[in-house]
Amino acid sequence: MMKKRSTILISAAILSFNSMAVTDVEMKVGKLSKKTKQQHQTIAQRLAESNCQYVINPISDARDNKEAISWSVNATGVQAWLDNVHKDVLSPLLPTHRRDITIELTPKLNKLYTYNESMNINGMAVSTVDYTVNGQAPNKFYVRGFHSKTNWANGDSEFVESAERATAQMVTKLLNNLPAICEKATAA
Amino acid sequence: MMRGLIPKNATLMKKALLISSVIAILQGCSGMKYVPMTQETRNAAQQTSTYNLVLQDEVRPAVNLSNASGALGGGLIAAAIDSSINDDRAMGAFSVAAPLLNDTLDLNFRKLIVEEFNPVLISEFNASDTKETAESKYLNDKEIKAQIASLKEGEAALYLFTHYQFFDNFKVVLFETTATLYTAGKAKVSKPAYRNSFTFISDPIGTGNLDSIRLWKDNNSQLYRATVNNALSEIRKMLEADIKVANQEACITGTRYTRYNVLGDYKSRGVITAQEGNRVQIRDNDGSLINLHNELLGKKLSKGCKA
Repeated sequence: MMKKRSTILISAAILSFNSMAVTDVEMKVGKLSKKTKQQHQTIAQRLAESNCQYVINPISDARDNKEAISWSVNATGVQAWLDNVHKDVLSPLLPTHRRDITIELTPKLNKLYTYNESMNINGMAVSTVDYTVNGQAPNKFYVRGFHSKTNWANGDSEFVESAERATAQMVTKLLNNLPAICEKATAA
Repeated sequence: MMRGLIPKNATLMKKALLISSVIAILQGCSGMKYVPMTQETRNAAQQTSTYNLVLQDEVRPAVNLSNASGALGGGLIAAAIDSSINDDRAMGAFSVAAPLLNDTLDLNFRKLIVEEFNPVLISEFNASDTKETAESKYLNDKEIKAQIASLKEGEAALYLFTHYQFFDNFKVVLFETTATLYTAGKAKVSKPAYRNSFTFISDPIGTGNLDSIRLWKDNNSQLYRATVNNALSEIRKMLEADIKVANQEACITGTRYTRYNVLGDYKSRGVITAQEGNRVQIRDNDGSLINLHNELLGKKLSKGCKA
């Protein structure tokens, strides 16, 4: 039964695939959602109250695969997107106060991809974040941003939007890790 | 989540849902028609261009997809329910898989696959354009049609497509390669000179979910890394055996068995062609070759080798 259904669907898929090719779509920093803004404000407050100062270096695009983020789309301008987010979103959230403990982070974007799953488009952004405490004890952590949305029309922009939102969530998760690192450094 | 978006055009929505479902299935590449290798095809493929495609950047987690649409007979509300449930399930699956995925960020599947496959492409297909890494760009029918239309006498084009994913709550990982060969003078994408798929389903590991992920990840993900290498090696062997025209295939018995595609597990039938320890190789009735653990075998078929 399942095989029969697959066969019918595949026939339809082959027809629908005739006009599709990998197209380039530029990634642009969209408006942050209200929820994300609130999360950022909460994190900013916690960072301001912490015993550490923070340096976040620009996020580098270190992906092996820069040719496609899905079977039909590639996202262009990913490094520019990361630079803009670093300048306009990340940096303004960091406290300017001086503290004895400096946490310096160097994030890399390792993977950025989207794919169809059932009736959704899923997006995944993966980052390795190297960090030091007062220039010592190099360490690292991983953050993953995930975004899933209903696939309305299988449009190119839908894949890029999913990738953008996944990357934005990855950035928020990166920030979320900072208070714990500071607490650990303070306790050491 | 639906995020409050409701399309004005329901027909467009239905089309979108169909497309998204079929793409998922197509990526699984199950059910494609088997075209056996013939001596004529081998003679016609004197020089072969190759395109070894891997669309994924990492292994897909196991997700038990909701199918309310199927149960409720379709419709927008059922589709919306599926979308919302599958959103949460995908997120949950990635949370479970994250420790393994992070631990294997250095594992370059696209490099490993060409290292395994290139020697066969060179020795069996006389390929001169093999790359150092697999391709990540999908080619559509139009592009493939243009390529195969330009083939001259003695030339051929071979397209390999591989995908891999966890199933059964992360207990098993499945690898599948589809090989499609075109020779000169047949410029129809739907009529290849040779086509088959090769599947490797790993031994089941752990009791599922976090327990299985922990075992896959132990010791710098030793088991997972070894399984990737073993799977690629077994798929390469299946491909090598399948393209040998005069190869006499053994039959131990006909059997029912369980296999997987993007929609989950399903029962199939075939004949066991080889057995070693707890691993068996099956020639499915649809022609595809599968290497799996004997735990996935069902009842023997009463007709024996006439499966």
